[in-house]
Amino acid sequence: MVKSHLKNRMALAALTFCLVHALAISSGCKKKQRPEDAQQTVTPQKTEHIAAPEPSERIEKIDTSKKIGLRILYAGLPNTERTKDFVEFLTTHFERVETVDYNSFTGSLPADFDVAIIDHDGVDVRAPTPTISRTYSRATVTMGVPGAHICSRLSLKTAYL
Amino acid sequence: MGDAAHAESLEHEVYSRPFKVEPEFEFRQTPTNYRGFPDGDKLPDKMKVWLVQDTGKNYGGVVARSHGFTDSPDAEILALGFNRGKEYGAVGVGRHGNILQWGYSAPPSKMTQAGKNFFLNCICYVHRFDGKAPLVRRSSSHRMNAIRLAALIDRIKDESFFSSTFSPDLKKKYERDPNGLVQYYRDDFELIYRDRTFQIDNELKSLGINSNRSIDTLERLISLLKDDTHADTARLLLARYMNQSFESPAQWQSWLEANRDRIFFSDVGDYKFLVAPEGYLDKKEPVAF
Repeated sequence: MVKSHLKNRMALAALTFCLVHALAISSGCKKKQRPEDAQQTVTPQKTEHIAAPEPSERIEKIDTSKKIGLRILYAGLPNTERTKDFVEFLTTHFERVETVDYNSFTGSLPADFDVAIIDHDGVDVRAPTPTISRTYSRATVTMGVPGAHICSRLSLKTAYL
Repeated sequence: MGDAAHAESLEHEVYSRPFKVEPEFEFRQTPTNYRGFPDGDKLPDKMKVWLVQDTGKNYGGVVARSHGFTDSPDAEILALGFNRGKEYGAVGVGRHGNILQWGYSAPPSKMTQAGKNFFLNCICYVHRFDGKAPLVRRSSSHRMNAIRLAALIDRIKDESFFSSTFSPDLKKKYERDPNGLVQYYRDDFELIYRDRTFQIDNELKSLGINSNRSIDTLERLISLLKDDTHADTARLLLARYMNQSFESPAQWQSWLEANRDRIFFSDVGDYKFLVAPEGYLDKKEPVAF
């Protein structure tokens, strides 16, 4: 009876040791697979100039129910469904959204705007291309085929061809 | 380009901040046009993509050429566009300096939820590059185009094409042998540069240097300025690959040491070593929410 009890205790001790050992190995493995380490190894060559993403816990802290604190100038075609579509969407998400006529956009983005969006109709290969100076350096999103033509005129890598 | 993007680059912050982009993936037949570009034959039969928008069309948007897109630190690829006209790797959404080009065509109401989040994130992301005009402009053709165009040499009839692509000697030698010309450029891919046409840098090769775009090459050329046997060739090559010049080897050396971390080589920027200005690569903090 005593022998059997001793055997059981020894088996239990051995099992506990194995479990603790396995946990230690497992946590060691996990440590080696931190997201930031994984990112370093999988970053493709094409994105070598892209800064590494920030840790994901910062994302969770963002309250996405609030509007984004950026002031957007949307340069589009006045009185079109497309412009209405964009403005409605942007207004839902950004602190301030104003519009200007695509055809009159010259790149002189007022200082009280943060980002310009230059949009014609997304597809027209013959859309007029606004004349924007090569010294233009304000944060801008160009849209679709007409946007690519703007980039062509500025000799950018984002150009049409 | 239609509605889809390839499922790559998704680790970039533009897929997670401030909105999480959660694409729904699907597999599509590899477009036949991809096969016609260098290494297109190595692609799988089907490719993983996700829908940025849902117009049901496979045209309407636009992609930029991939070759040379990332050869300067002012540009980055944010989404590869699934396209029916250019190569695999062509850029559906990309940034060059302060400008982010969104190649898709649809308004927000026709974007998928993942597409909407991606679009919003792109607007937030480009704000971090406000004031950062591009460092280089497209002023030359990337070396990969030598290979792409060499494969077409027996199909192109326009003589004016050759005056800016292949030298008369190469044209004569390979006009009925596109594979031979492709191999000619592949053999010395790292030594291709442009002087009106695509050339192989035999001066560099004669020095035993096997790449014209490595910082080690620049370092070596500067060190050869002190070697009487090779100084003239080194000066010639530095003039070929640099926009600026210095009188003495010591001045070259101190310039190199002061700028080493910010030097890059760009084919698209005319096959030159260039320097990113100090602070250029620092990004603005993300906007507060």
